[in-house]
Amino acid sequence: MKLTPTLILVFLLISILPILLISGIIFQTSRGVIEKEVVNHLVSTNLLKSTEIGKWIHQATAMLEFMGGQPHLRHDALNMLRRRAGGGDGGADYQSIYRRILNDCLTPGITVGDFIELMIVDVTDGRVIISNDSRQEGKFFWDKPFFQAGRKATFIQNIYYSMALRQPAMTIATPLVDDAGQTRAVLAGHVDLSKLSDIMEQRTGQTETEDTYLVNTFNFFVTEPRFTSGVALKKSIHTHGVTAALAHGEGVDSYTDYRGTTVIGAYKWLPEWQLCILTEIDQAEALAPIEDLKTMIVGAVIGVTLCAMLIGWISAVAITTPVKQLVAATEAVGRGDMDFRLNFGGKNEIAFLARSFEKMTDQLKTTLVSKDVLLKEIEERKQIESRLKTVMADLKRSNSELEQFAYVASHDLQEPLRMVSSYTQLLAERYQDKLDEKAGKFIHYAVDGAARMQKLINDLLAFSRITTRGGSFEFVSSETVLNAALQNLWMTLQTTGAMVTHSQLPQVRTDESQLTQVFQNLIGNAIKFRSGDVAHAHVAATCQNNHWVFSIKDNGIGIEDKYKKKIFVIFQRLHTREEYPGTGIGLALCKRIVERHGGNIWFESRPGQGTTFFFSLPKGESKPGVTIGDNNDVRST
Amino acid sequence: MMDFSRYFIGMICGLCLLAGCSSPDAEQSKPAIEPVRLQLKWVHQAQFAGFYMAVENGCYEAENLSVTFIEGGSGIDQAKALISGAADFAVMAPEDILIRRGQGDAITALAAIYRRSATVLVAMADSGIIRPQDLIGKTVAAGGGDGGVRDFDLQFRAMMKKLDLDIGKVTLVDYDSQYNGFYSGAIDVTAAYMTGGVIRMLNKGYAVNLIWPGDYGINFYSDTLAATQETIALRTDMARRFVRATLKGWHMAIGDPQAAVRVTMKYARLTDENLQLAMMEALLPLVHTGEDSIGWMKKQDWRRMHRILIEQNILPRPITDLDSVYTLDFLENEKAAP
Repeated sequence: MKLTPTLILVFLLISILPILLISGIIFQTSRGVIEKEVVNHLVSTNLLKSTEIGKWIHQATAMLEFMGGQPHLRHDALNMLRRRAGGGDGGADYQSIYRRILNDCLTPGITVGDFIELMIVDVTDGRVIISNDSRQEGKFFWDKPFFQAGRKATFIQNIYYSMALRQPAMTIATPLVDDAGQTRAVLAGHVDLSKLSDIMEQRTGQTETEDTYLVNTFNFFVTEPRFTSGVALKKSIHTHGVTAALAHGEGVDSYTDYRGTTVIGAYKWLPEWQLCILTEIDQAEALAPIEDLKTMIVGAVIGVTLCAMLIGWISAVAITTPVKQLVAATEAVGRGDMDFRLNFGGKNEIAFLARSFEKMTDQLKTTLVSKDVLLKEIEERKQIESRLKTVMADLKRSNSELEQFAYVASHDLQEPLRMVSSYTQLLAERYQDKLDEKAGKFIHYAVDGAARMQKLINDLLAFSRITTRGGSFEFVSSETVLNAALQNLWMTLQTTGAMVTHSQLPQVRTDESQLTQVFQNLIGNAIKFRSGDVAHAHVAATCQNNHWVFSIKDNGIGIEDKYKKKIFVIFQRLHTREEYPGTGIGLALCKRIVERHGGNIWFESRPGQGTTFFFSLPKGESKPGVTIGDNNDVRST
Repeated sequence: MMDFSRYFIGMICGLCLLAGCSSPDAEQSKPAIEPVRLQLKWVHQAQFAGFYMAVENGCYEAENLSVTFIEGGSGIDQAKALISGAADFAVMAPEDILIRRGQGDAITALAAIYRRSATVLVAMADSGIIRPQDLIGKTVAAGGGDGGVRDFDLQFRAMMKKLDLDIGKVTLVDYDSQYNGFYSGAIDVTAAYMTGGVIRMLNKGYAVNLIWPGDYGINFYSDTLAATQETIALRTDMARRFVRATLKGWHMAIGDPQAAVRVTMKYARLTDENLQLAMMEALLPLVHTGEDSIGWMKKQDWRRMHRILIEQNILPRPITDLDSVYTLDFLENEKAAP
């Protein structure tokens, strides 16, 4: 998930969860309070109105009973009945009584009481003998419950549809008895049901949809409900509230009312009147405060959500913009653009990061420059190495050819030279006496020259054989090698009386015969170039830098510094043959042998005070048991 | 061998039972739909709204009944339809039931749909005629007619007798269903049905006074549901279900007159919905009186109707087993039902 939606989500969660929780608690609590208020209001309305209905009906009943108990009414009514029974209901006397009852009782009764009609019914045939509504007179109510029951005691006929009135009616009847206690007539009154509707319609004024109405046991409206008219005893109602009340229940519930609107209704069964009373209020209105609260909470949640999203977005932008720039920077750097600048101000972490990044690119830039230089250098070195290899190969080939040439030359030259030498010597021997002194001298020169040449060729051959015919490297005692060399020099040592001493010498990995040659040549030179004194040479060895450095120190004539290089060149001589015999190959041989071993050769000398020759040999894998000390010199003569 | 056979047969029977029980087909467990024919008193109109409501709301179907309506009309004898077996039930006038019983037809009333008669005497509002006494010396169109309007003559005469009014002082002429003489003023008072003629008069803009014989002790039922005693005896359960569904339909119709009219319009011959609605509103207090339950009958009502018919010489002699003219078995059964 990307950072922006993540941050927005995080902010949303952080802000919404608590507000949802708090809102939920507030909402539930408030809802409970509001609902309780609504329920209490509806229930108390039902209670109040049912009490009022009862009071109203009882008042009307009491009023009727009061009228029926009036002696003059009873008296007049009985008189009327008597005259009627006698067939005298058209006489003036009858009319007089009729008007008296009408004017003194029934009409005031209508005015004072809540009746729409008051009448007296003859108990003998159930016929109305007098009514304040003359149209009703003569009608028969024999089969009507109020008449049947009203003959015996005061009776209230519950709401029914009166065909006589052409409207719903509730009729109260009370017996009119004669002095003997016999019922002679029934005083009946249709109560004014509009009063009942008035009671139902009395509203607190606090609500716009509160509706109270009565329903009878046949599910028919008894009073007109608020939102429709002409339904009393004409339309039935089968809502949950009515069903529950008709099951003699009492309670409050939410259900759909006769309009199809969801209401909160309190229903109650009124056993005395065999009616149910319902007080309902539109759920929308009842719960309007809850809805307002809900709207407010939803608004707050939406507001907080938007704020959280905005903050989340701003935060995300604040973070991602530099990050994006950093990404762009890394991509630029990746493409090789080291001059990309971020230019972040501020002291926050991102700015630090940006600065570190720039620092890194700067370092990278430097490193890359160094790398370029190095690469260039490597390239150059490679070229040099390549050239060197070529040169080396050329040199090796040239050396090899030279060596081959020297070998071939020295080897092949020996044969003709030997012939020249042999025949010159034969010439000298056979014709010694026949030739003059000069010829003898010349022959001598020739023989001598041939001998020297032979010597030179042999030396050259030996020189070339150092590499071409060299032996294998073995670990040997350098002291043994020295002794072999001294053995070879035995005659010289004997003749010159020279003295050779040596310190304890190490085991070395060497071509034994060649090392013998080195010792032999160097000690030989020490004896050859002795000063007036008896020649003395001392051989020693020290370990330096993984090399054995051998030294042969003499007390000879010494060598001038200017010959330092020349002295190791083949056939180079510092003295004439007459002063010191030799071909001048000895030191060149030594140098070549030492170099073949991977070592070096040099000397230190002061003319007249002797010379010390040094040569080094790589130690190789040393053998145990060899130690070197200075106080264990060995003398050889 | 015998044991094996028994075992085998038992097993087959068991399997069959099992198969029958496990069948999800509900129709197999429910009895087959029983066809029922109802002879109406008149042509299709709101007068029979309760029956239509019972059909349209599936009340009959719930009782496994499929009801066919046979329209009534002028010259159609509902009792004959019952006796002949052309109809299982009929909507009849109670006086017709009593008369037929007097003639020996075994017809019994099951429920009084119209517990109050729709018959009324109508005078113009400005005529000053407001009570039966005012009819003396007037021309009244309530006489004669065939079986369809026999109740006009019957109730008028009975009312005059009940009130000791001399019918000889009244000019009784034949009833005219067009009311031409009444409109013209030639006739002072005419009989009419509250559910029919009166509505037409009001629709024409006439203001009228109504004299309802019921207010003067002439309490006749009107549309009454009847069947032969044979049907009641042999198809008691079917009759019970039919009465139950019918009363339910009427309860629905009374409870929601507008819906009843909407349903009626599917059947009605007269397609004026306002007319049917007016008829429906007029019949409401006749069917649902606010007293007792819909369809309820009373012994004294039948006795009174019987007495009046005797008094009017319509019944030549009293019916000996008057209590068998009607039965409360089906109504009491419904009353007892939850």
